[in-house]
Amino acid sequence: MVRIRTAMIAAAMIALMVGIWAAACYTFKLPSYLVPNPFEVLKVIWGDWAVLISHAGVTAEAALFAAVLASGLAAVVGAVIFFMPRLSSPTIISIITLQSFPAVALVPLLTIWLGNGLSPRVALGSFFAFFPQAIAVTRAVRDLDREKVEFFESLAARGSQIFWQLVVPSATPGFFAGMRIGAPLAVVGCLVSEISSSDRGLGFYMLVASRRLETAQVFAGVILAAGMGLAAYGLVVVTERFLTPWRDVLAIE
Amino acid sequence: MWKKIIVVSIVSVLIVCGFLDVNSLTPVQSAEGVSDVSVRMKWFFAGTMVPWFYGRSSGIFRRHKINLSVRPGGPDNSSVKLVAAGSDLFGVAGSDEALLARQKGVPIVAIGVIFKDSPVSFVAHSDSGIKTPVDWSNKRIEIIYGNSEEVQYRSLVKKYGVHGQTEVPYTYSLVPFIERKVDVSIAYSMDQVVTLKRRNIALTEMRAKDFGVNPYGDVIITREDTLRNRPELVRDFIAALRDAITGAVSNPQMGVHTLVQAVPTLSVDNETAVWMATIPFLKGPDGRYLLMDRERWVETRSLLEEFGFLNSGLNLDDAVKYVDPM
Repeated sequence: MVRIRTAMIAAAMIALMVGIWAAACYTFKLPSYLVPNPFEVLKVIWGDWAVLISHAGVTAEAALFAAVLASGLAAVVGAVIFFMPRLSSPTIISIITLQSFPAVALVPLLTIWLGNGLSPRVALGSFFAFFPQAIAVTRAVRDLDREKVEFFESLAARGSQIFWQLVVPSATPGFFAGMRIGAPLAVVGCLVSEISSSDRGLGFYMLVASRRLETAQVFAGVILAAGMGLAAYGLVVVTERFLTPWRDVLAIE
Repeated sequence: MWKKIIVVSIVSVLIVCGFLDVNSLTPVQSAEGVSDVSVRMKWFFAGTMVPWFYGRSSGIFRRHKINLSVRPGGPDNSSVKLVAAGSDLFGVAGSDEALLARQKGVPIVAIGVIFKDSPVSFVAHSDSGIKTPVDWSNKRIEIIYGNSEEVQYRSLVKKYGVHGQTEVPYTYSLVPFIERKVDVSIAYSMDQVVTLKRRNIALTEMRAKDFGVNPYGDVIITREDTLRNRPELVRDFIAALRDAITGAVSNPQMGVHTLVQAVPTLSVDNETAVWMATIPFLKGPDGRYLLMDRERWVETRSLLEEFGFLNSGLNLDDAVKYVDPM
């Protein structure tokens, strides 16, 4: 019941925003090459549906691989932090420093190193997604209750047993908290890569549409990309519920 | 309480300042009758734009009663959109952009041609054996999608029967070409070609115009209501630009100096090479700068229509207006 009401409120807010958008276009007579009205955009989505889905599929594939890769790397960072706690602070500082690196500058380099196709897009997408996940996992491992660890140690548990039977279940909520931010960012990273160095994907679609002054197509691409980000978030929530049934997880916090 | 009032006041002032445009949307006339005019370039500042800075610095524009501001273009600063929106009075755009915009209902017109010939080239390492488009078959080629560069490429592919090639998107970096990850790369004669030659990279330059594909290059655009309501300003602008180009061609070192003075991040050596490579594109067979030829516009339109970049039926008289400054 609560979820239905939440969904209805969300739908009403979206409808309100679309209404304001349409009213602004009509009232201020905004030219369509600058700001298309929502009906023009809907017409493009309806008419270009097959093309949009094809490009969205390319982006989604890359984003999925990117999110999984970023999650795996974040999990490795968490494991390293647990087994070598002295590396905790230097690791966090390094991650934050790397996060400041202008990712767009990586695009031509990734093309050189990885060629064209899926690999550079996955690489850039995972670059975007990695940092929030790594930070979240690192904090989750660092904030582990020491008493529980000592209890395991008192039972002569090996390091690997403590890691798999205590650390992993305890850090999983933090891991998924990072993934909720990281998964949509993986979509963003793939779009950035496609805009700069691809001949497929929603980013490429929007780039060409922009060059041809087909602003309605650009908006259609933006809407699909936003939907993809939302779907990525939803997928993380569902996966979290499946893997951590002991937690009461809300669809939207 | 007072803290809240102060914070709200500061935030309100910042928001209002953020919405203010300190450069007027319409030309402002000063007391001496000099109009404040802005022109939006097609790309980032570079040696191809020497005449603008030379004309401004040497007082040419001011003699024509124009106080000129030169603004950079780039991938996120479309001169067509900014001119159409009124943010800039004039702009530099590709001939394809100008025609396409007109067909889409954007109220801009082309009033002069800067590059009389297409500056688009395709480069290959000189030891690759690739000398003409015929040699592009089964090769890896970097291209730019979505505008005149792609049309010129496709025209050459069709004309010379190129087949089996692998097309990859140009990443706006020369590294893939230098590292030989691609066999052929798209380039501009006065940009990437200059950069590669300055790095002593031996290359073969295949100019689109040398192989019979030669649409107009960059053109000057303005809003059609500017032309209609301020024809004298437009004439003065074209006249000033023509004088500025003449001066910059006659005094290239001085011209580059004015550019580098305004944009200190640029290098004199590099931009001198760029400007010298630009000069041959400025003057057509008619011997005059900026003057447009209708037949060349017809040729440009036909090429864009042939490859679906333009729908057929665009009336050139709507898109192109001849301005002849006295």
